[in-house]
Amino acid sequence: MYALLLVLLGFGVLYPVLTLLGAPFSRGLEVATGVFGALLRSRYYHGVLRNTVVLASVVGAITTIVAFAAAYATSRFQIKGMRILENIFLLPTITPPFFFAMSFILLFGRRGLVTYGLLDQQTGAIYGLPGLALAQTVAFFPFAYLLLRGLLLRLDASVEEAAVTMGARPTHVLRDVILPLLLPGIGSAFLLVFLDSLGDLGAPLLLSGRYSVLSSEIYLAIIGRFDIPEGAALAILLVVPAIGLFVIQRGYLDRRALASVGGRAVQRPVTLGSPGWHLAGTVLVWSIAGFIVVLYLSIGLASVTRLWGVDFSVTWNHYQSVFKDGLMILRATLILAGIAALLSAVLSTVTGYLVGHLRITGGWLLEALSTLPLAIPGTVVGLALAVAFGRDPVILTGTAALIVIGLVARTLSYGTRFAVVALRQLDRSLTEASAVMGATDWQTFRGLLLPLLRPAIISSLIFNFTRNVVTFSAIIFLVSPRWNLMTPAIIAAADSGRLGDAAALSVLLIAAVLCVVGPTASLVRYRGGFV
Amino acid sequence: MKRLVTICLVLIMTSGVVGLTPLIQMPQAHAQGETLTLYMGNPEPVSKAIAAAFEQASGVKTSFVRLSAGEVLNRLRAERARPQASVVYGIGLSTIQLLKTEGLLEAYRAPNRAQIPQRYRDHDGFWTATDIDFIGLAANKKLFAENRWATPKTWQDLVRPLFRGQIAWPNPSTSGTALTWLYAMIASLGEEKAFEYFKQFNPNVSQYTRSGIGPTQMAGSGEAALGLGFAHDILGFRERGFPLEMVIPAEGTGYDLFCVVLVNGAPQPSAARKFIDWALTPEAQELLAANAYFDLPTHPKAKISPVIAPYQSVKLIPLDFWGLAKKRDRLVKRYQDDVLSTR
Repeated sequence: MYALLLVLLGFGVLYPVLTLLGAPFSRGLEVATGVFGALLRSRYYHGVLRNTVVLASVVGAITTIVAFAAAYATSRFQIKGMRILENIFLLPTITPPFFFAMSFILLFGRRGLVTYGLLDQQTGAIYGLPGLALAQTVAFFPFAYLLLRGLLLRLDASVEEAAVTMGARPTHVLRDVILPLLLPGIGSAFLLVFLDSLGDLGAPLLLSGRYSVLSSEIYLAIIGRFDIPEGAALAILLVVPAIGLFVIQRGYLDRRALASVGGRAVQRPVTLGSPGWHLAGTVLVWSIAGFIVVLYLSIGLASVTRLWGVDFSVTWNHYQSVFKDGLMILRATLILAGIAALLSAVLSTVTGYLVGHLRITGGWLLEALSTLPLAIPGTVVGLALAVAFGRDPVILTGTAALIVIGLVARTLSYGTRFAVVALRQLDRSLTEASAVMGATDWQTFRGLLLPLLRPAIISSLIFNFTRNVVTFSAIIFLVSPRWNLMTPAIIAAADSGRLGDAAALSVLLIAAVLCVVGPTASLVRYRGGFV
Repeated sequence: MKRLVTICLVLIMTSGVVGLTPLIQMPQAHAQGETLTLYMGNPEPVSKAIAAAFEQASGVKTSFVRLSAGEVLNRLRAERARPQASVVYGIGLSTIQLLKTEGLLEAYRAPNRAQIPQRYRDHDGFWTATDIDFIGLAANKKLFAENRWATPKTWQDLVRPLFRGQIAWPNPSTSGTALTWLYAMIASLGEEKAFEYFKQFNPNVSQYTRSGIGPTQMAGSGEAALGLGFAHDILGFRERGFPLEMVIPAEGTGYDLFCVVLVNGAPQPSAARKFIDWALTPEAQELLAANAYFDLPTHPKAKISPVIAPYQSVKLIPLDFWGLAKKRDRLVKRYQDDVLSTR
C-alpha cells in the first residue's frame, strides 16, 4: 500500500515538480545562470517582485484584521441572524476568487454602478493595487475568518472570566489576554492569506492594470512567449519563499495556535462588552455580509443586463449565448471535479490511515509529497504538470487525465489532514483489540475505522469538489479544446470585455455548486473547525 | 441528513462513472461522423457563426476555441508532441509566419486557392489569407464629448498627459492586434525611436488585456476612453450602436492578412482540408461581414461590405512580415522589459 501510494505521488507530484525545477537547467548550467542572472538584473522583475510582496502583505494584513474583528464579534456577542450570516460568509469559499474582481469592475469601474452611477465619478482607480487588494480580500476573507473563529471559540473561557472578575475592561481583556494568546493563530491566518494572494492568477489578469505580479508574469511568459526556462525560473522565485512560509504556517504557527488556546469549542455565554461594543460588532459583521451580498447581486444583475454602463435594459441574451457551450463546459467541469474529488478522498484517507494511525516509518515522506502541491502556488503546479506531461516519456497533453491529476494533487493535503485529525481522536486500544481478535489490517480499516472516518471523508469530498470547481490558476495550463473548464471560460469572456456572458457563466457555475453542495450545508459548516 | 449525504455521494459517484467512459477514449476516437477542432482568432460570435455554417455545409461536427494570436502560437508550441486542433483560422500573418518557420504548419494547396490573388497566399503553400484588415483607434464619443477632449489624430497624440489612465491596450505578449501595432510603429520609426515612444505612451494605459478585442469593448462600454483595435472590431461595435468613433492615425497604420492554415500533425486532417477549401469560397468570406466583422475579403468575387468599403484606401505602413516574425519573441520581451518597467 505504502509503495503504491509512493509511486502514485512520485508520478503525479514529484516528477512534474522536479521536471519544472530542472527546466531552467535543461540547456546547461551556463544558460541557467544566464536566465537567473537576467531575471535578477531586470529592473522590470524587481518591480514585479516588489509588487507581489506588497500586494500579498496588504491583502494579508487587511484580511486578517477584518476577519479577526468579525470572528471576535460573532464569537463574543450574540448576533442576530447568525445562521444567515455564517452562510453568507461561506459563499466566497464556493466562488472563484476572480469573481470579485468582476464585481468590482461592475460596481467601481469607470462605468461602475457606484462610482459612475451614484457618485458620478469616472475613475480607473480600481485597476491596480487598490482594486486587486480589495477583490482578493473579499475572496480570502472566509478562510481567515473560519480559522480565527475556530480559535476564538476554543479559547478557555475561564481566563477571560477571571480577567473580567478582576475588574479588567473589555478592551483590556482583548489587548492583554486574547491577543497574546491568539498571536500564533493571527500569524497563521496572515500567512494563509499571504500565500493565497501569491498564487492567485485570475484577479491579476482582470484587474492588475499596469501593476504586474509574479503569477501573471509566469502566465504571460508561457502563454505569450512559451519561454519555459524563464517561466520556470520565475516559478522557482515564487516557490522558494512560498514553501518556506508554508512550512512556518503549517508546522509552527498552526500548532502553536491550537496549543496556546487549548480547550474545546464551547458555546459560551456573552461575557464581554458594553451595549456599544455589541452594536459596533453587529454593525460590522452585517456590513461585511451586506457588502458580500451586493457583490453577488451585481454579478446576477450583470448577467441579465444588456450592456453594463451603456444600456441597462433586461435581457436573457447572455444566458442564451452561453447556454449551448456553457452547459457542455459545465458538465465537463462537474464530471472532472467529481472524479478528482473521489480519487483525492480515497488517496488521502489511505494516506491519513498510514500516517496518522499506523504511523508507519517513512510516513513523513507521504505527508510531505501530498502537501507539496498545496505549498506551491497553483499556477506553478499547473505549469509543472503541463511541462512534464507535454514531453516524453508520458504525454498527456489535452487529456482529461491531466486535469484530474492537477485537481487531485491540489486537494490531497486537505483530505489527509481531515483523516489524520479524525484518526487522532480515536483510541488506539480499539484497533489493538481488533488486531488481538485476529482481524487483518484491512479488516480493521474497513470494519472499524472506515465508519468512524465517514464524516471526515464526506467533508473532504465536498471540500475537494468545491475547490476543484472554482480553481483557476492550477488548471489554466491544462485545459484543451476537448476538455475546457468553467473558470477559464469565464476569464476569457471577461477579458475580451463580454462581462455579461462572464456573469451568466458565473451564475451557472455557482448555481451548480450550490445544487451539489447546498443539501449538505451543515457539513460544510462542520469543516470550519479544520480549515 | 444522512440520506441527503448519501444522495450527494451517489450523485458525485455517478458523475464520476459517466465521466470515466470518455476519459478512456482518445479525443479523436469519435465513432459517429467526422469532427473538426479549430483554433479561431475571431470574436466568439463570429467564430460561432463560421463554425456553424461549415458544419451545415459539410456535415462535419465542428468545435472551436477562441484564442488570441500569441495564445495560438504558444499552444501549438506546447502541443507540438500531440496537436489538439487541426486548423487555425482568423489569425494574422504576423503570427502565422512564425508558425511556419517553426514547422508547426503543414502545406496544403486547397483547390479553391487558385482563385485567391497571389499576394494573399504563401508560395510554399503553408498559408492562405481569407481577409485583410488594418488597426485603428476606438474612441468613446460620449466620454470625449463629456470631457471636451479633442480626438487624437496621430499615434503621437496618444502620449499626451491628458490621456493618463484613459487608455485600454492589448498586451503584445498575447494579442496579434498589439503585435501589429508594435510592428507598424517599429517599421515607421525604427526600433529605438519606437521604444522611446512606447515608454512615453505606457503611463497612459489603465489596463492591458490579453485579447485584441478587449480594448474596443472597453472603449465601447466606456470602461476606457480610448482603445486599440482592428477595424473589423471597431466598426462592428459601432454598427451595433456603441458610441464609438474610429480614428486612423495620420502617420498611417498597421495591417494584417488573416489566414487559414493546416496544423502540422493535425488530428483530423481530412476534415481540416475540407474546412480550408470551404473558407476560401466567396460565400464563406461574406459570412464575416454578415456577422458584423468588417474585413476586406481576399476572394475577388466576394462582396465588399459598404461599411468597410470607404476605408479601402487608408494609408498603410508597409510591413515585412517575414523579417518581423523572426524578431517577434525578442520584441515582445523587450516591450516587457523596457516599456512595462517604466511606471
